[in-house]
Amino acid sequence: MIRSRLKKQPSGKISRRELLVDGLAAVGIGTTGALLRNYLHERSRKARVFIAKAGSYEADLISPIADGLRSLGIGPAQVRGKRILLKPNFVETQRGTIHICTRPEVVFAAVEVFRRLGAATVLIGEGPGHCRDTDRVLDEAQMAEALVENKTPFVDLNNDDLVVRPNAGGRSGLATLTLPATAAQADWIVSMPKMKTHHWVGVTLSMKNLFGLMPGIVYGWPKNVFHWAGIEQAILDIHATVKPQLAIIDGIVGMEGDGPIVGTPKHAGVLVMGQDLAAADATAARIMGIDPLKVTYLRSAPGGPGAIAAQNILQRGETIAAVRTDFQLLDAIPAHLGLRLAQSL
Amino acid sequence: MALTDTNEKSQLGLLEERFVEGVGFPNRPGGGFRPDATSWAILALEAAGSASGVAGKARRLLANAQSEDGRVCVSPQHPDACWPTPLAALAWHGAPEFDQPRDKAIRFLLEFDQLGVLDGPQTGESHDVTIRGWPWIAKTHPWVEPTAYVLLALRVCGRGSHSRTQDAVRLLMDRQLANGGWNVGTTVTFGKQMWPTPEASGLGLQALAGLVPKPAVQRSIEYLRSQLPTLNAPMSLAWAILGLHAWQETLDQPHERILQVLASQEQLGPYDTFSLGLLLLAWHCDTGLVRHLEDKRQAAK
Repeated sequence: MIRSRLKKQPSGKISRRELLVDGLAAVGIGTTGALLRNYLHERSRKARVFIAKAGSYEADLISPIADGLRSLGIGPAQVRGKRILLKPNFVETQRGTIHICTRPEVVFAAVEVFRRLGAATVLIGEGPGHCRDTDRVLDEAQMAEALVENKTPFVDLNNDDLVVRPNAGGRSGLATLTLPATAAQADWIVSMPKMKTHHWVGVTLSMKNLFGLMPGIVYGWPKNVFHWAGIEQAILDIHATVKPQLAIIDGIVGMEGDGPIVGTPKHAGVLVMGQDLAAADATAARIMGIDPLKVTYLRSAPGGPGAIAAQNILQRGETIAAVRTDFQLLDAIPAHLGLRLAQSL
Repeated sequence: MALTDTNEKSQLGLLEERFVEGVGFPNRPGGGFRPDATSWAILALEAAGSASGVAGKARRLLANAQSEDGRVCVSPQHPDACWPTPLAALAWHGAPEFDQPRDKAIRFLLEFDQLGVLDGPQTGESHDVTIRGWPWIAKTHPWVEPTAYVLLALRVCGRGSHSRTQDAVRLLMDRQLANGGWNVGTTVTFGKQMWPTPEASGLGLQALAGLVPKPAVQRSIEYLRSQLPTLNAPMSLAWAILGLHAWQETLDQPHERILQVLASQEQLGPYDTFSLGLLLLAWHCDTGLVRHLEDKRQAAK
């Protein structure tokens, strides 16, 4: 297989060999050209996911996010003039912890990257799932003053005006989904989750993070309507309806064990980015030593299991093997059973 | 002490200015009508002695939003999102011309049975899932905060001895965390105790004040007292003060804390209407919300 012979570049940039292959295919020389065209067609169907090493929150995080977006083919042409909504995970806070919520350092690095790319507006929005008091959550997550310093607007998505949309997923039985007006008006929604295990669905990453986009005034605290509708089905429905454009996963310090709230910190030292959220989550899961094909909602995401198979994702930046850090799974939690990824994968 | 902000404009005036004629109160300036924000604003305006007439107009608009069966929903498109109903009942209480919508709301709450109550213990959960409290959203599980809202409404509106009131008390006591306090309503998951939140703990204490012996909630009082110095957010601070005052706890300069948090708006921007309303209530109700409303009712007789 041609792809297996390609060398991965640590920076995530396309290699000279890849450029040569692309060039040959473009001119279409004989049989080789046909083979290469097939190869390129196959590759174009594959999702790209970028993995960046980031040792700590004190490190430069703007560069790896900028590199990642560039590697994913996102530049000024894609971003200029757009209204960007960044959706971190502030489900619940405990003052002084760094493993529950997406860290402000990651969020504001993304703000800066999108501003440099010419976004018309960069907003941050969240609807905390377990806390009625969003102001307290922002204070405890060290976001309140940072929002002022960075002159970045924040929208409490739990309490925004409402827009009703048909459920584009059709998995949960909910006929419609109600979105916060800010999300409905955004050109791009960027899901920015924390890399965590989850005691009901195995892992919570960029797709599950979309629960926090949905307004608490309509879905409750927690967003219990989705629990009754089926958590996995609801994840897929929200993803299909919201149509997020990008995932930036904070895996610098994640959570293992009994996530998403009372688990323990786990340093993985990575940021994971991708425009196909299921592929980005599948890669993040593999980094966590979790087999995404065993996670029901990832296996059922658009494209089916094949779309998140390792051979069908173009990994950029670091390799999974280079950064794999197995997150603890608990025998007492049924959703964790059988999730461990084989060591050779 | 006068409740003024740094611009010397009263917080009461700022709250009144949020009212939109023919609409009611939005939660944020420029937003649409919110029955919960309108209810808290009415209660706050009354507590602060507003003479503007806004509370009366807001009560009328709140009544216009009531459904035939008595529920008050977040929006007409979301009939299951009926959690503002007890707040509306509190807002109508004490205004005789609104006894009818109030009584309809109370009847709706007492007869409410659209619950996702489970038959027995669930994997990983430790609380009693069979207790019939109230949910945020119809057809889902009962939770701490909406149940506490209903308990407040039932006792203030004279239904303190109803069996459903006892259901509310049972649920809140069942969901109290072993180390004190409440959260949304999850106590232990897969053997690990979950954490309390100040806003749910203050509300829980306020709702239960006088209904259970003080030792039964002593740990929650201690938890909330320990949190009070760290609270910078309006809703949490307001519920902490209301909940502790409801149990006759003496607090260190609560008015100064409220002023500090109000002043933060200059840096952080304006607070939500419901948060402003709650802060005003915390300022004025120095024996807690229930006692304040009961005293008002006695005074009106």
